[in-house]
Amino acid sequence: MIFTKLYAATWGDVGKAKEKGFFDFDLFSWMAWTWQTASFFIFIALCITVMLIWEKYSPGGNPRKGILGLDTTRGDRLFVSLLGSAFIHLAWLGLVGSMLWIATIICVAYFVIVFKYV
Amino acid sequence: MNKTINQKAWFFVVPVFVLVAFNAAIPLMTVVNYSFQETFGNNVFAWEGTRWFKQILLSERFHDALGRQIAFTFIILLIQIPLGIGIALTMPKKGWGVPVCLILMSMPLLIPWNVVGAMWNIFALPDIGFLGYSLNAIGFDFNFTQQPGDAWFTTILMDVWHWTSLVVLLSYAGLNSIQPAYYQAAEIDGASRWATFRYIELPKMKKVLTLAILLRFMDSFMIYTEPFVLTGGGPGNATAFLSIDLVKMALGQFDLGPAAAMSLIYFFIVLLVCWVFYSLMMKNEVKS
Amino acid sequence: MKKYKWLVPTLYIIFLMLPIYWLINMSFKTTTEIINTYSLWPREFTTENYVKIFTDSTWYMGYVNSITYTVFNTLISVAAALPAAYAFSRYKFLGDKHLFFWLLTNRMAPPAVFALPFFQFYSSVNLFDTHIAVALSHCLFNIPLAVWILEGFMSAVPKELDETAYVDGYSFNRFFFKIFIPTIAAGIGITMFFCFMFSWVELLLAKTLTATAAKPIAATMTRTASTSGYELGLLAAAGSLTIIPGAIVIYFVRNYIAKGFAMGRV
Repeated sequence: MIFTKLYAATWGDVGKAKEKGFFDFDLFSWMAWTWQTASFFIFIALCITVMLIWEKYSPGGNPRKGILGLDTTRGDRLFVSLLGSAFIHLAWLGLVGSMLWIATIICVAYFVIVFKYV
Repeated sequence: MNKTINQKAWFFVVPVFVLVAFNAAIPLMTVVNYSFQETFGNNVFAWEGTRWFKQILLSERFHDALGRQIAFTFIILLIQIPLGIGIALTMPKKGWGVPVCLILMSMPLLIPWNVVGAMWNIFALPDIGFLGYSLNAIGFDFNFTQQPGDAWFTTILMDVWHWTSLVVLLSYAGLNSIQPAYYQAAEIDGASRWATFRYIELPKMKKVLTLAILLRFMDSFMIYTEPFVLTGGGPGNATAFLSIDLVKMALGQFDLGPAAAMSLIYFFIVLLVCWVFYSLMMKNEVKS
Repeated sequence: MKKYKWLVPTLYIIFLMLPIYWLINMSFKTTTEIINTYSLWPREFTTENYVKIFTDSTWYMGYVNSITYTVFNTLISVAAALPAAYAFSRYKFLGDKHLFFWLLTNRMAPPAVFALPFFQFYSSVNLFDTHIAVALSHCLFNIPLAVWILEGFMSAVPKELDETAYVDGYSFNRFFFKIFIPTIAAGIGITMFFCFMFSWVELLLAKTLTATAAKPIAATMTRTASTSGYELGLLAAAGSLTIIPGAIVIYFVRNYIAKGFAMGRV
C-alpha cells in the first residue's frame, strides 16, 4: 500500500519503508505506464528527432520574425505549437467536453499555421 | 559576444542535463501517467481517459483557487514592483550606508520559508503579537485566524516583507550601472526629477525589472509554505492558493488522478506566462 | 525633499526588522509569560528554550541535517553547472536556446507538483530519508539557477582570454582550472550563495523526502507546532537560530550581492 506508506513516512512519525536490498530497485511499477501515455511521449521524442534530422539537412533553423514580432526558429515554433495544442485541448474539454478528436483536428491546423506564420 | 558553433559543447552540458532530466522528466512523466488513471492503492491503476481534466476544469474548487492565486499574484506585483523601485531610488549610493542597507535588506530572503510563516503567525496574533495587538489597540477588529479579509491582509503584508528586497536589490543593481555622465547631462538640461526617472533610469532598469517581474511572478504563483504555516489556507478556504489546494488533494486526500490533472493545468499556465516573459526578455537583450 | 531621502530606506528596514525582533523577543520569554501577558521585551529573561534545543538531539540534529544537505546540494549544483555555463557562454550548439529555456522551466515548476512523484522515485531507488536525496532533488531548481548566474558572469569575461591562453599553449583543462575559474571566482561565490540560500529555505521537498534520519530543522519545527501543544517559545528560539547561517553567509558576500544580481541575471 504505497499510500499508507507515504502517509506514515511523510506526515507521521515512523515512516518505515519496507525493507529492501540495495539493488532491489522498483523503478517502473509506480510510474503506472499505459500505452496511451507512452505513445504520447514517444510522439514528443519523435518530434525532437525529426527536428534533429531536419536541422542536419537544412541547418540554421530557418530563423525569421513572425507575426508575433518575435525572432523564432523551427524549435521555437515546435514549442509554441505543442504548448498551444495543450491549451486548445484543455479549452475544448472545459467548454465542450465531448468529441475531443475535433480539438485534435484544430490542433493540426494550428500546427500548420504556426509553422507558416509565427 | 559572437559565439563559435561547436556541437561538442554538448559534452559540457551532459552532467546538468542528466541531473535535471532525472529530477524533472521522471516525475513529470509520472504526473502525466497518473492524470489519466484512477488508483486503488498498491500500484493498481485503471484507465480513466480525460475524466479528471474535465472534472478539474469544471470544478468550483479549482476556479476559486485559481482566482485567488491570480488575485494574489496580481496584488503582490502591484505592490512590490513600485515599492522596490522607490526604495532602490532612495538608497544611498556610497558610504557606510550601502553595506548596512544591503545586509539588512537581504535578511528576509535567507530565512527558511516556514520560519517566515511561523514568525508572521506570532507577529500577527491578536492577543500576543505586535501587529495584531497594535491594530486592535488603535481600534481595528483584527483577527487573521477568523476573518478572511484580515488573513489576506496578513498574507500580503508577509509576502511584501519577504520578497520586496529582491526587487530592491535588482533595481539597485540596475541603477548602479548608469554612468554619472547621464545624470550630469540631465542636470544641465534642467530635467525634472520625474523626467530623469522616466527617460534615464527606467529604460536602464528595463532588463532587471523584467527579470524582477518574472521572478516575482514565478515565486508568488507557486507560493506554498508561508501561507500554509501562517493560515493553513484558512479561515475556510480564503487563502488556499493553488499549491496549497494541490497538496491538500494529493497528500491529504490521495486523489492522485485529479491532483495530477490539476498539476498539469497549473504547470501549463506557468509555462505559458514564463515563455512570454522569457521571449520579451530575450527580445530586449538582442536590442541592447 | 532631498534632505529626507534617508527616511524611506530607514522606515523600510524598521519594517523588516520588527517581525524578526518579535521572534527573538518571544524566544527569550517563558511560556507562561507568552501566554498571559503582552510585553514588548521579556520581563523574565530566560535562555531555557535555547538550552533545550542544544541539548535535545532531535532538535540540534535538525540543524546538522539541514546544513548537510544544503552543502551537498551547493557543491553538486556548482560543479555540474560550471562546464555547462561555459558551454552556454562560449559556444553555439544545436538546441542551446531550447535547452536553456527547458532548464529555466524547472526553476519555474511548482515543487508541489513534483512532491509525490519525487517521494516515490527516491523510495524506489532506496534513497528515501537520506541527505543525498534531498540534495539531488534540490538540484531541480538550483542547477538551472546556477547555470543562469554563472553564464552571466562568464559572458562578461572577454573571449580573448581563452584565445590568448590557447595561443600560449595551455591545454583546455589547464586553462579552465588555472586561469578561468580564478577569473570568475566572485561569480562562483555568488552562485554558491544563491544555491545555499534556496536549498536552505526550501521545505516542501525536504520534508517530503525525509522521515527521521535526514529530517531538516524546518520540519522538526512544524512537528512541534502540531503535536506537543503550542510551545511558542521553543518554536521562536528554533526559528531565531535558523536566521544565523543566512546572516553569516550574507556578511561574507555583501559586496557581491547587488553585482551578482545584475550581472548574473539571477
